[in-house]
Amino acid sequence: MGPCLRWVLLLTLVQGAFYTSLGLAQPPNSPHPVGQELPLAKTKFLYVIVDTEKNIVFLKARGIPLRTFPLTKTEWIGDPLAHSTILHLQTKDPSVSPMSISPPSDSSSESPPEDPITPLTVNDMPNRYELTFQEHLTILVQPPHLPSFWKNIGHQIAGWGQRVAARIGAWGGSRQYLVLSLDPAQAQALYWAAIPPMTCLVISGNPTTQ
Amino acid sequence: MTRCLYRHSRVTLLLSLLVVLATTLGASPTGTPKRATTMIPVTTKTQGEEIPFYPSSPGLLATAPKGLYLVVDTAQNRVSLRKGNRILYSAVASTGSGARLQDPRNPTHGWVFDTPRGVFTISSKIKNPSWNKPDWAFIEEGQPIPTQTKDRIETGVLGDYALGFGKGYFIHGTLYTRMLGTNVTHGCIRLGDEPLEYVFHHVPLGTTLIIF
Repeated sequence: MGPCLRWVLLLTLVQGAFYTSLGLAQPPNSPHPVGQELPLAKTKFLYVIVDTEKNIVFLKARGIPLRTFPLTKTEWIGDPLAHSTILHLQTKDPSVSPMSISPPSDSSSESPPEDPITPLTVNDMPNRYELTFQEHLTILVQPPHLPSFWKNIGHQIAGWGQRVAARIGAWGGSRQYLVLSLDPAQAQALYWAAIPPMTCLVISGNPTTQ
Repeated sequence: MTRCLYRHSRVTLLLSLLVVLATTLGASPTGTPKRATTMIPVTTKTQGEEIPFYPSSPGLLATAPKGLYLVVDTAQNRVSLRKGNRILYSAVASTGSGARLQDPRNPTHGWVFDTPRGVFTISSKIKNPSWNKPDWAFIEEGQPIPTQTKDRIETGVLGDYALGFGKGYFIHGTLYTRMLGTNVTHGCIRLGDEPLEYVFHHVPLGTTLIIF
């Protein structure tokens, strides 16, 4: 075996181990439906790609990945999308209300307080929520099961309620539901990033579970 | 006596179960999360850190910014200077608070202090900038709104440099350096003195700025 061939084999093994460790079968940008992403990449807006084949979500702009959200699980409730589709985010539920600033009543004070507001941070965002799109699809974002028994019960009940509501909604085929299991911190970051009417490309394939 | 103790222990067990369940549900992700208090380094320089999943297809590469570009992460409050698939420089910043201020003169009008998200272009570079204070700055401070423009000008509060990216938004310095790393601004992007100087001298006009 020549040294070149050995290097090629070694690189292949390392690359395979890397993508396997990320829960990916292959590089997500290799078989990408670039044709569908191109119109989004040409705009000045941020967009999201939900790849149900590779179990990963990308936040992108101009074709550049700004943040990646590895999914622990994806699941369709009802029929999956027949093909990859571009969607427009309509609402986030629950919504997070911004803080209101109250001007000081006593305007004779010597100097204004230094940044008197208590801002919202990404840690204030929910990690279990629904993203409703104009095109009759709702994405349910849920944290994966936690190792703690008692915490898991709370999650199970909340997740069960969300799924029952989704099944009722999917009944009759008026709306499709996609459940994404995301690490809580990642879910909060995705909530922060997703602002209506953000565009989302859902790459539909065979639903996979890891 | 034994029966009484038995009943007492059952009640205690039931109460404990309820407390644990309530605590658990209260601490569940649907509840209000606790705010983490973390120490954030003021500046981090990185040399050539690679961006994972950078596009490889010619079509997407054609849409990517050419040369240097700035990326602002409003969730992490970080600014990074990038070129292609490499992060050349990164620094802590402050971005919009998302807070709302009602205009007392008009109940249907107000301001939301968000940093805009999307793709922008550095359209101006200013040395020793002065702040032309808008109405909301006076309303927020409970001060009367001046009628003369000269009464709105404030110097020395925006640092040594400012880079404009449209609609009155700037990347500029701050007096409140201890607030760096938090979402406290009125929409502008604040940097510490050293990162601001670095960015000002390395970023030419027309540079792409991506805010997410």
